[in-house]
Amino acid sequence: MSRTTPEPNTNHRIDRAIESLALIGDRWTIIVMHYLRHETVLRYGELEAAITGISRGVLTRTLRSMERDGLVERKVYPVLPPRVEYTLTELGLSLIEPIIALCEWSEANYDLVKAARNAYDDANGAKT
Amino acid sequence: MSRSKAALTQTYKRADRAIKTINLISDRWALTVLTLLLYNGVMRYSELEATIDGISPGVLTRTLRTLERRGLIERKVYVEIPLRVEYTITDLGLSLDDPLTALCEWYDEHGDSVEAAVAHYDAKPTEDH
Repeated sequence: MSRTTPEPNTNHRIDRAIESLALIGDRWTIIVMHYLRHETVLRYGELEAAITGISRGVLTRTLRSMERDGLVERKVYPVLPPRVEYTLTELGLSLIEPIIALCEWSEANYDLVKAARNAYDDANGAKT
Repeated sequence: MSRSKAALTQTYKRADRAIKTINLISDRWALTVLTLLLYNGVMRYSELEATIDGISPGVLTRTLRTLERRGLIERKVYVEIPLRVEYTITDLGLSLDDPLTALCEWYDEHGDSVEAAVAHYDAKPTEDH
């Protein structure tokens, strides 16, 4: 191969992938999206009860950052006690498909990654 | 709402699967090398070094090793003078093209909406949860 011809949009492509990955690269974000996708509307308390192992602080932070990114909508009803509900926005819903693509890739291929790692470590004296 | 424990475990499993793939590709240098090899198929070490702006030899070597260890690229050494080292994308690496393309296309279509949402949110006065 002669002088490499980098695809002109390589950098742009990388930026776009990195930006989308940054939106969903957090485990709790994916879990919240998954719940909201199935239940459509959930109260804060319901999310908290459903997602075992999540602390209040982490749930609140996750929801805020998802709201900021436009992935969920937060509605506050002025009743007593105040009712706060979350739904996925159109934007949030549209991210489900690329997330599923990542899940499916992992399901189909992750064992191969593990096998490759083991083979590499065996061949290279198990250094990480 | 009635989410069974089994459904919850399933959700967590799915999330972990997605995260595993994300971890493979969310490093900027790894993604850069992968993208270049997806386009070019084969590249020499020196070509990668010359093509990727701002990467140090140490980081490039480490990135290549990581990708090789994950089975996404293959390293071939040709015993000639000077020594020729080439990297090719494996079938496994090639299979990442689809999910990567899905992410890029999503961003093409929706990136502006994300930026607008962030600007809108940041412009709002802060309120408590």
